[in-house]
Amino acid sequence: MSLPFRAGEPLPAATYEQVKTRAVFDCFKWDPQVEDVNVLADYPIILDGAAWLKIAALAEKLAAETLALEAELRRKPVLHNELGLPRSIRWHLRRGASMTESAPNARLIRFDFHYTTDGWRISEANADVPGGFIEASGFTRLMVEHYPGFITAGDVADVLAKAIRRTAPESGIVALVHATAYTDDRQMMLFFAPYLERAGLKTALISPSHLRWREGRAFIETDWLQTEADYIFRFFPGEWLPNLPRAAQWGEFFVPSHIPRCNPAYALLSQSKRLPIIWDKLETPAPTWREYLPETCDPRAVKWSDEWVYKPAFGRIGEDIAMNGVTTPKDLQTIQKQVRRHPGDWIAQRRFQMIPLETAHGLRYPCFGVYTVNGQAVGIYGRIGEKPLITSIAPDIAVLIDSSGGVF
Amino acid sequence: MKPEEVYAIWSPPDSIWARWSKPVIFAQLKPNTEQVEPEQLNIPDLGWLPRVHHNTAVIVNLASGESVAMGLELAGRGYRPVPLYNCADGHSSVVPINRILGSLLSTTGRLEAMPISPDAPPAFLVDSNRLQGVIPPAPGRFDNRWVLFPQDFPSATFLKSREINRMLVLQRRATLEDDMIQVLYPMQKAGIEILLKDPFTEGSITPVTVQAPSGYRRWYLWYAVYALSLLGLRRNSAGGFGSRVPMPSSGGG
Repeated sequence: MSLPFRAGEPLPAATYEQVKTRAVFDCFKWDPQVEDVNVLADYPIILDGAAWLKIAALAEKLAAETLALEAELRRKPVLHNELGLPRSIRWHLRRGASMTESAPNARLIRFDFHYTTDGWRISEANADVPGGFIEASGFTRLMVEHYPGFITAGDVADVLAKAIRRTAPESGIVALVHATAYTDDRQMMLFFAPYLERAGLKTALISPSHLRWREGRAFIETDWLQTEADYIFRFFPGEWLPNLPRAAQWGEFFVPSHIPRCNPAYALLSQSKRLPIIWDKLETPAPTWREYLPETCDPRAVKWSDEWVYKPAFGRIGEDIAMNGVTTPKDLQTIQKQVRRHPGDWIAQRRFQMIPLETAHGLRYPCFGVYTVNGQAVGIYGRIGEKPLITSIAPDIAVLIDSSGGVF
Repeated sequence: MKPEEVYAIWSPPDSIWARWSKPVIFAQLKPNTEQVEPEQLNIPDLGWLPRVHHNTAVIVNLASGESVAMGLELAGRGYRPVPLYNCADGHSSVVPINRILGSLLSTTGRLEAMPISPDAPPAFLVDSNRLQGVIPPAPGRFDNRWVLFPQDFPSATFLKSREINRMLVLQRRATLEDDMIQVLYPMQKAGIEILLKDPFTEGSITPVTVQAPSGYRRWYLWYAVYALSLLGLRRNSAGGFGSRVPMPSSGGG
């Protein structure tokens, strides 16, 4: 079966080291090594132009359906307890259900595409806090310099900054809310901040506990800055917010407010991998989701077998995924126990067969994370694993577009 | 010197351990970063330090510039210092990093002049202030406390492939901190002997047995609880996730 993408030639070692140094020091890629793995691939994936147009179009349809599903779900809090959300979050979502969202939020979503024996499929959508900016924008831009004749799929950081600028006041302050103990997260805020500043905005890198809410407005209260925020860019997972002290008023993230946000925390409704389990109870049709996401159900509905992959409702970066033959037996056993004890926090998803790619380093399994910004597809966060399961040690890889087929 | 030039001296490409060196601390060097002489270490005697061919790697778990100073001492004895400071700076930081930055900068020339073998065993440098901070955390402060991950280190398999079968932790404390336990326990399970020594007191190196912490889990689950507690966040006991806690390897997905 021919693939709509191929592996590019690896960079010469000295050139690669220069690219890696620039990724670290110019793009804030501070985590190039994870245990024994160098996580920046020294070669790109070259994606056919027609294939990029196809998955970009699919991502745009998926984004529209996602936001429509989410909007309907916001109005139907009775369905929230089927999504694996904690009670405290459900309470705030219920509180916000009757409120009208008037703030011009920017919506950023990333859909993870894989090429399988059944063609393109998605494994999930990251609708809450999709990461990968440094890799999709910065690292990819550095790599394309060395592969003449190819282009990138666009700069997601740039497009998002401009989208935020369109609805933020001139010289407005964007609060970049993140977990300050994580350099992985801080590096992304530091990378994104200059994009916002070039767009004419000011930035404040803070933790969610630095915000205080009053009448739908958010105020930054730190030792070094006390001012009203004009925009909130949240890179702090919604399901972590209940762990904040009550004084942090974390519930305000989940309800409509006057301040525009990217993303509002009610994005957890569409982030939950259990969403497909209830979409028959919704009026919103989601034909693209239904076609491209493998069959997904409550784990109690199926028997544990090789046909199914088990995932946590709010898992990230491939952790805690049970896939027979890929996940270690010990981890499989642990996950199986968790699934049995708390089935409402998990899903079973029919397994698809990824087609591996021949590379200079052997067979590898790529994942193409396509972003949409306010419904427009832009940028790809590429990852490539030795196994058909993308985890935190799967290297990041630049995805370049071959536009020579005349499709652009 | 540019930050990447300083980093290249601390992480020379010919060293097999260089790739574990964390660039984050070096990326925060600025033109006006003040060079600071690291603390004078009053070490009675380094005679207990294993010679570099005794298959021992070291973790230097000392405070701030002391860890840099010890790293230089070990470099003088043939070890390769590997900075693992995984800490971002900000306004009103709970863990100030200026002394670490200044010490790294001021000793770069000295390190460059030292003849360290490419296959010298590593001495991983970490800041013992990382968990508690120096300035009490308070609302309004920039909380940049951090924890060690097992993934910050080479795997036990890699260590053993380089004939490292002992890991010596140099620290003032008599007991191991929780994150250090998470790092060392898998190494111990793989057959690496764990040793402990306070370099500032007399006495010999002590073999220790790292106990699996109660409720031991995969490291990233433990980290979720611990790191969130550092931020003043409490463990989610709401039951919505059952016994699980949020996945922490990064905030983003």
